[in-house]
Amino acid sequence: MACAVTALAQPGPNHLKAEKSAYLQRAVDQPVDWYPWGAEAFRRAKELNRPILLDVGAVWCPWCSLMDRETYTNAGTAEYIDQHFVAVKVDYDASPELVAQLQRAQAVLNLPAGLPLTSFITPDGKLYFGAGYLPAEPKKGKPSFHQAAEEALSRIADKSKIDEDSVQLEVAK
Amino acid sequence: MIAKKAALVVLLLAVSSPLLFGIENLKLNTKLDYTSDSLDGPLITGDDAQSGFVAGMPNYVIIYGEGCFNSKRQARRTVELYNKYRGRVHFVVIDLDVQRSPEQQKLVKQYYKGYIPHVVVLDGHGQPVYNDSGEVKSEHIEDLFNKALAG
Repeated sequence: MACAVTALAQPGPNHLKAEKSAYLQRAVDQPVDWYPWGAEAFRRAKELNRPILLDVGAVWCPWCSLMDRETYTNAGTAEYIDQHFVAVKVDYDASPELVAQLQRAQAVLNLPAGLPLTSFITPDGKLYFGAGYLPAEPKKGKPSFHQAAEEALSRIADKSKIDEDSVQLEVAK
Repeated sequence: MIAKKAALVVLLLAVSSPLLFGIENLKLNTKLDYTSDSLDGPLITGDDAQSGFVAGMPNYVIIYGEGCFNSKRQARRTVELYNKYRGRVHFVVIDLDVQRSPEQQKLVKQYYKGYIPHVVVLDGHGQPVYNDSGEVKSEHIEDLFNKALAG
């Protein structure tokens, strides 16, 4: 019988070291190569021609903490994320205008819009897919993180569909 | 006998007609923890929960997320308001954690600004008299309802 092995998280550092918010500081040593929201992340996404995976959360949000523990500290998942996405983390409390825009965008697209907010964004700033809390394994009708990420990668291949079913984010222009 | 049957049909229609217009029999989730952002399931349940705006009467719209204690507290106020104003005000309950109907998406696109909970009150002519994020006291909403019902 095969044992399920959870790879141990490898320490960072990622690009959050200079960030002051508690939620971002907490993720400094996560194995995901997180960027803070900003031009550098979008520039990197354009260079690599990859979508942005955005995580919005807060220190007081238990489901954000659970997703950090289950998903973003898993070395195998982190490797997958770093191979296919540019990862960006946002603190709900530190960026109210940005968060309102992101939540509204997901609501308009008929996607979950609570916390944590998991968004997929094109390198030119179009939010085209997203979810809320995503478990490590599918449960209670919720897709797993991996399933959602695969869906995001499959959707970005269809540019015409993205053009008609996405929200251009102002801050990313 | 025929008159009795006709009266019964009229009575049944009168009782069931609100079901044709939208969410009814609103019930608050009794397992809600109002002090944390725990996920306790849908905050409010009811018949035809995906209904949207109804013309010709004031509408109260709550847009909420399940894992949010501010949303839970506003959900409790919403059900209290429903119990007081049912039949006179149309209630729309929009859960951002589940797929929404096209009718509800119209309201989301028109009024939702981000943040939860979000409350919208539309008067009898469909004009917004309240449209803001965050919890709002029932007394304020009742004032708006009473003005809308009087006008």
